[in-house]
Amino acid sequence: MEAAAPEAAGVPAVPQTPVVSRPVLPPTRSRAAESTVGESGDARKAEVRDTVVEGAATVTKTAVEDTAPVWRETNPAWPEPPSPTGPPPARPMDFAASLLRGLFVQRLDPAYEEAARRRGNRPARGPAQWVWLVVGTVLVGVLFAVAALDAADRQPGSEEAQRSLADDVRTARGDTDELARRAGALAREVDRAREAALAGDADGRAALDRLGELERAAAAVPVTGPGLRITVEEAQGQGGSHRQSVLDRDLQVLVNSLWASGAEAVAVGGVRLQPRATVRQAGGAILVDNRPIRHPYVLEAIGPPEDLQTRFVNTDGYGRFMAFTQLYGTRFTVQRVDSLHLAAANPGQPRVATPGSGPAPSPSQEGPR
Amino acid sequence: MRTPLLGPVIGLLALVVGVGLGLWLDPTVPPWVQPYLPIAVVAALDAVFGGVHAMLDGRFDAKVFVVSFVSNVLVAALIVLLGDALGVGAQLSTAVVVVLGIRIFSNAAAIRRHLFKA
Repeated sequence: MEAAAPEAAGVPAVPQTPVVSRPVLPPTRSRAAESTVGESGDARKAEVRDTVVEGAATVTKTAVEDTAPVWRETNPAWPEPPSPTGPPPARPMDFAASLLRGLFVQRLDPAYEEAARRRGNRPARGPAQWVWLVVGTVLVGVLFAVAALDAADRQPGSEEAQRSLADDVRTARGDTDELARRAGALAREVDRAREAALAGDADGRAALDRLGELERAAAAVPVTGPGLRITVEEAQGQGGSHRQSVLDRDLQVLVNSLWASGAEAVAVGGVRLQPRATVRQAGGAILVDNRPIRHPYVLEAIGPPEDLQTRFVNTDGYGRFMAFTQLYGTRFTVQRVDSLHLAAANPGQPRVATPGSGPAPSPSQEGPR
Repeated sequence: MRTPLLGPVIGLLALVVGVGLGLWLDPTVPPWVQPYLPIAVVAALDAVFGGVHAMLDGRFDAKVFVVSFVSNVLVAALIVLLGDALGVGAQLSTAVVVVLGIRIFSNAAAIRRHLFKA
């Protein structure tokens, strides 16, 4: 590219007539023309670019007139400065463009401009102004204060949520207790009805006896009788808390020792043990048949007290807990009780296994009840 | 406003009085109003910034200020209410906050230009 004049260096090879005497276009016009670059052809682009270069206006008047006027009117990118006398005259404007323009142009709210125009551009005065001002700002202040207080109130929202959750838990627990009570009452009713139905003939009485045997074995009925009460109390730790030196497996050994000593029914922490019950630990809590029990742990076993105690002192469990009393200061007491009352356990849905007839019995053969 | 400083001072004092009044009264906000408070605050901020801008321009009109404040708050709350009813409450809240936020920014920029000439 031949750079004859430094001003024309960036201009591609376009037939041009260096006109020095042409008047320089006004800046708005040239800016508006610049925005037409994308739309115009190559030759025009060159001309347009030329107009931006100060003092080197080589473009012909007609070329600019072709493109500029339309775009200048509608181009939102170059808004006119807000005129103090009022809004600019109505013009066809794309909605989105006007919206964006309204948002981004730093102009006064039209309401203020209009009010000022109505007053003839004199500042507003008079007592009404003061009243309005005071009322408005007081309102704003009150709103801010109320919103701030409200936000501060909602700050401990997590605490509130926790409280309401705890309430929910309490309510649900109450419902569960109530339902369990009702279930117990209904079960007793069923038992009475069954007894009345079966007690009539010999077959029925035999079935009832068998049922009673099974129920006792499954800990499904409450039992009363003499036995042993064993209390395990942890040593006091610092600050009145109890050390956790007795674990679930220790209690398991103790329970198994009781069974081995001839106990007929056992309850741990007031929870009757049924054949499938477990004693296990979940975190710091001991769960007996999935129900948490509290310290101190009280085990009650029904059986002939003398025999039970004689055999019990020779078991692993007894030895282990005697060692605990010396090692950890655990308190371990065994006392004979004349009358213990153990509640019924809930053995759950009974499952009946029947021997399969074929060589490959299906893995789960559960009876309906 | 006869003296140029009297208006802003009165406004500021009234604002402080309003805040004090709100803190002192501590009205219990009904639960159904609570979701609209933040929006109302943003709308009020928009009105306040617009008012300050107008004051600096020397074209402040207290009546316009109060009407714009009240209508801003009401319209913003109504839009959000409508959005809640239609199930697009969050989006409409965002829209209101964006629009008002842009207005606050542009007014704040004008105020900055007036105060710091920058």
